[in-house]
This record gives sequence, structure tokens and C-alpha cells, in this order.
Amino acid sequence: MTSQEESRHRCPCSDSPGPVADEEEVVRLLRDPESFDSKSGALTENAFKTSRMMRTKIKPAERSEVCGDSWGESLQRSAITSGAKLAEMAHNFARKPNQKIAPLAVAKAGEIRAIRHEEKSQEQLLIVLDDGCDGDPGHTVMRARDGHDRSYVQEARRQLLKIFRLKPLPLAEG
Amino acid sequence: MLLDAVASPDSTVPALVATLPARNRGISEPWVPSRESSSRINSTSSGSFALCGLSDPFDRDFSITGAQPVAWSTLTIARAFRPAVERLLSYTRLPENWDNDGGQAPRLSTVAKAFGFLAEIAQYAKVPRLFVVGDGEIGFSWEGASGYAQVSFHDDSEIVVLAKFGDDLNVRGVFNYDSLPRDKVAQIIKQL
Repeated sequence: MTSQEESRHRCPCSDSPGPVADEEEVVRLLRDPESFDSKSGALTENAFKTSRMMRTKIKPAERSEVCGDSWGESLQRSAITSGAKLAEMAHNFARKPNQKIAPLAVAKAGEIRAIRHEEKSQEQLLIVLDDGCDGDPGHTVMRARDGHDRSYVQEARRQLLKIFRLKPLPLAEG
Repeated sequence: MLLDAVASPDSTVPALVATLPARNRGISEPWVPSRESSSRINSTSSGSFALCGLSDPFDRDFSITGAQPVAWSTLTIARAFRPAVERLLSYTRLPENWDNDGGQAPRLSTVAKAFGFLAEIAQYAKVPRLFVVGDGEIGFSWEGASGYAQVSFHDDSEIVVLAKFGDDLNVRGVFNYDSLPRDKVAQIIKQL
């Protein structure tokens, strides 16, 4: 998928808000302690699984491209998903005993797309695609572009951990 | 006893044998090294890590000496690495879906390779930050003012190295345990 195709990509759902613009803020939900270390106040590598971004563990037959369920790491578009909805999702995301709700991790889609191949500066490593669907129009997926080995995707993950900033959880409704 | 780590002749690749964690009870045969092994270290379920016959090897530096000293190396791990060793071994006890996001625990063979690497770098490196990822990855990370290093062990035997120091030293790639460019990686890690 070229950068132009990525910037035009919209899922076919009638409720799709359309392509994800570079200037849009996207949100990654975190869990403490599995993907957020409250001691250091930093995201952990488990926030972004390289195999999920590369689909290495997804059998071809199970690589869904159905809106809302397609492969990659899930993000939310903060312009589409309300603060109250994000708070609700964050609470549901960390329901296991010993898990604590963590702040949100946010970044601009353009920052993610700006992560480049070290030796080939024109080569983008990650893409951010609209994956909105009925009931979750703000859903977005982040994937590694094809053709790069795991070391590049891990380098991209290293950059993601620096790019994503923490943001306090919005207050839930009620 | 939850786990035994067994030193191999070159003291770099331990094997994990004996009682497997609950999640692996379905496996009839424990993972064993291809090379003959000797000198065992025990790790109890509480995470303590002790030489056979010694209650707490971290009272002094941890060491393994082979039954045949002429043929077997001695492995010494500085006491400062104890939390890292315990953390690494704790990964074998992660349950299925440990992160509530479909997380799987690393395979014992992955833990064994990571342990071998940890034992190697303990000879010259600062204690790394350890991390585990729900797709079975175990990683070691160092960050410094002039560089960084990240060495990750994946459960398909791939080892990913991202290491850089200054403008001249740079290692990046996907390796296996035998092809890992140890000297170059060590050169970088030593400076972090």
C-alpha cells in the first residue's frame, strides 16, 4: 500500500468517518502493568506487539479485513471516539484482577507515519488505516508495511514508545 | 521445584528441564539441550535461584562448576543480576492470556536462550531492563546518552538486535543463537 493509498483508505462501512488524516490524534489503550509501567510512567513494549503489526501469528485465513475486526494493533481516533467512550473502553480494557487502569497513550497519525527506515529515509515503516464500523466508528489499525523484517518493525516499535505521550483518562459519564 | 537450568559445556546455553509450569503439563517431554549437559542450578517456585546444595547462592556470587572441571566451564553471574534472573524465570510462570490481550508466555526454549545470553552479558554489562511481550518475545534493553541496545528473543528462535553507539557502531538484524554477532553486540553494550 502506497502512502497515497493509505491516506485515501476508508473502510466500506456506511458509518466510516473516512481516511485518517496525518494531523489526527490516535489513542492506544493501555493496561497497568502489562503495557504501562506505573513506576517509570512509561509504555512497555507489550503495548505494541510486533507479530500483530506484522501478522506473523495470524493465519492467512484468519487475517480479517472486515471493518472493526481487521488485523494490526488497534487505535482509536480521538476526534471520533468521545472522551466518555474512551474512558469506558479503558475501564473495560483493564478488568482482570491485578490490572489497573492506565492513562491513554496518544500520538498524531502523521508522527506514526513519519517513522522511517534507517537506511532508506523515504521508506515508511508503519501505516495507520481507518477501520471504523458500526458501533465503533473511531476504530483504526496500525500495521507494518510489507517487505521489512522484524528488526525494522522492532525499531519502529522503539520509536512508537517515544512518540506516544500519556494523557489522563477522561472522566466517564455518570 | 519448578525449573532446573543446566549449564552446557560452553556455559552459554542452559537447558530448562525437570518440572514444567502448569501451563505446560500437556507436554510429555521437557525441552532438552542438544549438547550434553552438567552442573545444575535450581530455581524454586518462589523464584529463588540456587546451586544444588546451596541454599542461597546470592549470598555470594552465583557460580556453576562442572562435575568435570577440566571439560566444563565455570559461569559466574554478579549478584546485581539476581532480580533480572528472577524476573526472567518468572516469565515461565505466566498463564495463558496473562495480559488479558491474548498474551502467551514465552516458550521454555526461548527463556533458556535468553538466560544463556543474560549469563553471558552479566560478565561485562550493566543490568538490562527486561521486558516480555504477549507474542512470546523476551527482551533486554539498555539506553545510554550515546547509544542503545535491544536484544529480543522470539519464540520462533529469531533473535532481533538493535544496537547503536555513536556514529560508528551499529548492529541491526535478525539472527539465531549461533549467528548472533556477539563481539559487536558486546562492544556496544559495554559502553552503555
